[in-house]
Amino acid sequence: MITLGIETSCDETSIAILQDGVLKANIISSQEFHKDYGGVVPELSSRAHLQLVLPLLRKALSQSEIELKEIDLIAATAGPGLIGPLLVGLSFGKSLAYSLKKDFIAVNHIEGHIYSGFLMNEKPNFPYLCLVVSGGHTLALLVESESEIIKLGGTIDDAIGEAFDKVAKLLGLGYPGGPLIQKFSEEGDPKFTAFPIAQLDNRYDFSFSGIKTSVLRFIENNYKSSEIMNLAEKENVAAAFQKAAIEPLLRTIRNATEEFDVKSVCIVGGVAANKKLREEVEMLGEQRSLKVVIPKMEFCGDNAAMIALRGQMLYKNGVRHDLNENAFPRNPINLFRQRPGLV
Amino acid sequence: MNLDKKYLPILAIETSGENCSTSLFFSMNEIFSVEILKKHVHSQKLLNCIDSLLNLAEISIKEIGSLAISNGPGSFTGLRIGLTTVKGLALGAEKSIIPVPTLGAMALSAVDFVNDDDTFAIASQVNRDELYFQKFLKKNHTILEDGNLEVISKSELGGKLKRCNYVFSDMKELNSSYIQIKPNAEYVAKWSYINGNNVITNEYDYLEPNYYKNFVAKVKQ
Repeated sequence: MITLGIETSCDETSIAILQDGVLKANIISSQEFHKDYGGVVPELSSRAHLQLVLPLLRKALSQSEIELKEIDLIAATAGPGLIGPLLVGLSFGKSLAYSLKKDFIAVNHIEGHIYSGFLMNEKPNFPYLCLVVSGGHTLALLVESESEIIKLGGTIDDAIGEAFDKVAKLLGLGYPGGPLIQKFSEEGDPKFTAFPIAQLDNRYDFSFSGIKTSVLRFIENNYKSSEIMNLAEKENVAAAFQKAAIEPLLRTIRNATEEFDVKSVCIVGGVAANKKLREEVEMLGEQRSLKVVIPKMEFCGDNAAMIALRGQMLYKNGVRHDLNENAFPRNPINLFRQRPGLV
Repeated sequence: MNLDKKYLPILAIETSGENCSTSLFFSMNEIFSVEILKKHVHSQKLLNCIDSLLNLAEISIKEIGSLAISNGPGSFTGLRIGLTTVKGLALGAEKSIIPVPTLGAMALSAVDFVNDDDTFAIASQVNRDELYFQKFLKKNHTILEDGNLEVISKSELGGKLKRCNYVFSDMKELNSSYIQIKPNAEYVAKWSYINGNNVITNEYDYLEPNYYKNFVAKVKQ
């Protein structure tokens, strides 16, 4: 079975071709120009997707040595994400499926991330603890099967990737924050100062807004402004922030693996590309004899390989979508089953 | 010269405004149309309209000759939904695309209202304060452009109408002297039939809508 995946939910245009579980192509084009605006501009992103979606498809077909007519299934991201960009990929996917008379699946972007561990040679085993860590989401999930996901907790304010972006901006490092915080942290001292980590009623919830505010206060109290901080000071603050941002994730892994009989731990989403997080989770896995699956870098950020994979998974479970499928910016509130007894 | 017969029938799509409109053009006397006049349904219903249209005409997408798309100016999102849909259809069905100027197609819809040598204007709503504006002339039963496409404020409209015999507009609050029209796919198809030979293309990978109006992105503080 050959599946075409299309992903345009934010600022990456991506096309993938998955044949019988083998990834033949996963082309990702990142829209670097958003850096100039300090964040993603939806209108510019939509325009770029429209320009790129077809050339990237041709490139993916050529790389895979597969002809368009050989494709059996088309899967496109329907949401959550930026509505303008989503509409480009979804409209293209639906119309291509219609004209080729192929089946179509509208894929939930977050579900794409949740199951992205299955793109790896070493796959997670059910049930697994999945931490979704990205610019838009921070979720702790218990993934029981290809169709059953229980939400243990999530962020009550900022997503972790958002906190990385905001702190990078506070330090005057630029955008996007994730890679810059990581880079500056490498030479910094994580014990330079201790930023507070929120303790919440539900131990699987997260809060990153407080850490960000603490960084702001720390800069104001000690330097007045990041403009007068020297390189070493910025590196130290970045390292201390990174440590404080990662710790709640490690705590969640410790708590969940003690409370639930999980067979694996999977960290997915853009922030899973963070080197320190990967090292810390791998180390924790070794200490506790846990199977840890963290997708390789190209599957951490937004990519169409995970969309193709999830589309194929749904298709094999009997799911079929029609021409009415529409884009949606936010997840429905009942997307994941709530943990029983959780308020 | 009219569009080569091998490009018939034309499947035409108009999504630049509130009208989600599709037409299948066999000839000036044989046109099928399916449309929905409702906000925010284009993404969800456009392919349903196309499917219904083809079913009515009892042909498949492979049997059409070409695809015509109202290519702007208009709603940025609406234009993109139309163009991405057309690109997907064209690629899968191996057809050519005819990009059609939206105001040109609207002008064509006025052809039966105006007399030869009449000058008329199309004023299409951009937002609460602005209009896309262009003048046209009917000469020997043909509609010709009589000025460049512009974005003007509504307050400028009066001053732009010198020598104009008529004003056609899709404005919500219409001045009683203006004639109400709305963009629709029938005239996108007719425009394609009359002028399509000059613009039909198979090289549509990088084809973009004519956004026309500048988009200014603000830098986040």
